[in-house]
Amino acid sequence: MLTKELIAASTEPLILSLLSKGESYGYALIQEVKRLSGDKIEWTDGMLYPVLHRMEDNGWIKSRWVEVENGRKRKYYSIKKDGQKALKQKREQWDLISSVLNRLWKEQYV
Amino acid sequence: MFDLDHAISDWRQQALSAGIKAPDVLNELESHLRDEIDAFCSSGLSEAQAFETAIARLGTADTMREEFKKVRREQWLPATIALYVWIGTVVLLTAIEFANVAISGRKSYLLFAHIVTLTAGYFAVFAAGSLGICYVCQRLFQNFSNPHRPAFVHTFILFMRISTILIIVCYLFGMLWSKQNRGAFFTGDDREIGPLFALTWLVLMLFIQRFSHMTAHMTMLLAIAGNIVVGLAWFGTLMIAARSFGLQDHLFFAMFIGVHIAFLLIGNLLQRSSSAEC
Repeated sequence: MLTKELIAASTEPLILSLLSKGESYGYALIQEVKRLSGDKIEWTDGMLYPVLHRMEDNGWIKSRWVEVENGRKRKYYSIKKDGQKALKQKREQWDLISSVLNRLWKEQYV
Repeated sequence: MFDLDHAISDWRQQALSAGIKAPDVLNELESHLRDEIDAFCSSGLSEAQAFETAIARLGTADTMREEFKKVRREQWLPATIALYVWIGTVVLLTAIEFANVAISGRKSYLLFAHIVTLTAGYFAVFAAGSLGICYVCQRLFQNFSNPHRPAFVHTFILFMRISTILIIVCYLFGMLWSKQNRGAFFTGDDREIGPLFALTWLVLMLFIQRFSHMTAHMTMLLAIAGNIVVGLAWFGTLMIAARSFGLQDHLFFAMFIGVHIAFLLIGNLLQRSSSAEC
């Protein structure tokens, strides 16, 4: 099971990565991460929305209300240019961490 | 018989009492709840069980409020400076005006209170407007993609609220003074129209802020436009009332409006170019 800290640190890059594939809404984002991680990453429902709002305040993503079936509305999020920049930056950071760890672990087993 | 709409309405009330007041947030959480309830119902749970499970997963209203609290706002230096400059200006203005009344005795305390609250209210709008200009300047030279946006929006809203209260209070003082000295609460003087004009704008802005999500771009537009409105309400009505302003004053006023329109256009262009590249 992943630690709380690791889940918290990876939330923004995961959301940005998912939204870079197309617009989505909170519930769908939770389900998609759960599916992609083979049920290993399960975001707390209540944790996601404050993060989405902070990212919107940061100007990384934008939202719009869309009317779906039965007159119900859903808030869809999409990535903005600043979000793409932030994603690029975060990807570089995660790649770096990953490559350092990979090298260290390879050396251990050689 | 379980009534889902009624249960969700009760949950909204609890969330409201717990301090989650923004309709946008409540609507989004409700939408999430309904999606989750649909999924649980599809997997065989009854509506009542699905509701209980979805609520448990979302967390109590208090937990939700704490989650939103965790998303902390970072300080933005221009916002902090604007706040302190405004406080300093108001203290100085109050001291000067008070000394004027106490020493000369020419003005009444009602008029003193009217002038101080009106000027402080107008300065609050100008302080918010200066933040809009700072935002445009910062975006010109660097990316504003950082946690400063909430501080910008929050400080703008704070100034708008302060200004609205002060202008309402100033208007009441002005009406009382007018009754005492002119025989009527409202005489239709140009200088009485100015604060009303500004107040209408402020109420409209607070209404917009209450019912929509304030992006930094929208805040910038409203902040700079607010400067133009208060400029018209203050200098404009004074110029009409005095009818003796010289060419220099008119030029200054035209420049004031022109510079603000230029900032509005630059801010809009920056936003458009950023959206176009998206």
